[in-house]
Amino acid sequence: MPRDKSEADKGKDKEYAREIADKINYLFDNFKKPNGTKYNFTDVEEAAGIHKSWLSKLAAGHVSRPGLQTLQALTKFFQIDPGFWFKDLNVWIKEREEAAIQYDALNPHQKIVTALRARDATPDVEHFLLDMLDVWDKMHEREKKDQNN
Amino acid sequence: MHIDTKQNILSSCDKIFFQLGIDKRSGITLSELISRAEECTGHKIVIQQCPRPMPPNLFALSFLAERGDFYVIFYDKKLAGDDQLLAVLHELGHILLGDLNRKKPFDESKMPEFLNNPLNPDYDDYVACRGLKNGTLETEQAPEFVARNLIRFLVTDGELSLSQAWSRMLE
Repeated sequence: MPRDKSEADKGKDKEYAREIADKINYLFDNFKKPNGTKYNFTDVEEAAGIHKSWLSKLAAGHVSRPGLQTLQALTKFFQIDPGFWFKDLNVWIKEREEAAIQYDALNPHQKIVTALRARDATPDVEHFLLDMLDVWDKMHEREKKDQNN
Repeated sequence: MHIDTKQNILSSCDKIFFQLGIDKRSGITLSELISRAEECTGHKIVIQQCPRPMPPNLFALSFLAERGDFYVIFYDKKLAGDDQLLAVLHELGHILLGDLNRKKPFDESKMPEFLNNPLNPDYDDYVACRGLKNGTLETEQAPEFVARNLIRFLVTDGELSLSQAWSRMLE
């Protein structure tokens, strides 16, 4: 038998629905078309397959859990990272600004090898990690060939 | 601005559980967890044993890379059982938190204060976890916390033990 939602759960639903709305509105306000104009719900519906009535509900704060497919489609459409949905908006914005400033200073290897559990990336560590990626690429390529044959 | 505060880490972990629909009463199986992460990110997640030993100066148990539509999680072949699982869940935390996409550089200046004084009672146990005592990046706290929470709510399919379920996933 389904359990009635507690007051705490209802409060959480409301809080998350508000947060989702803030994030959706942030995306539409800040991620614009190449010509500088804002995207509208119809643009996203046509390109990402999310119904505009659903977007409207999200933007109005009526939905606390949009669904993983919706999150994925919006992540892809606006070219953001999945962390956008799991971090507080202000934190995500601040991190993005900092990363954008620092990214240019990285060498090409550091740009490839990022989220690793290391104190630092000395040249031999970088070499090792890149080597492992090559191994994986070759394996993956071979698997694809085998599947095609 | 200090970004990865305890409050922010807790909040991110809550959001992951909520949006991925992980019910703490019934738990979630490994395969379902990976499947939901794939659905959310639009990437296939591949778990791969690192074919060679990790270099000794790499204080790492696992690492993560994005290759096209794949996220590849490499784990150290020395790891076994829960440690292996925890390392993989840690990398899954990085995926969900978008750390790979954000391309954060290695910024020693952001090393949190606790690394200088890991025994400070102001920090909860989760902060001074394995690896971090050696000194790692600030960005490691959040995925480690996510991993340690996820592992608490993993359940198995049918008669399988967690380690059997895990082995099966790697086959």
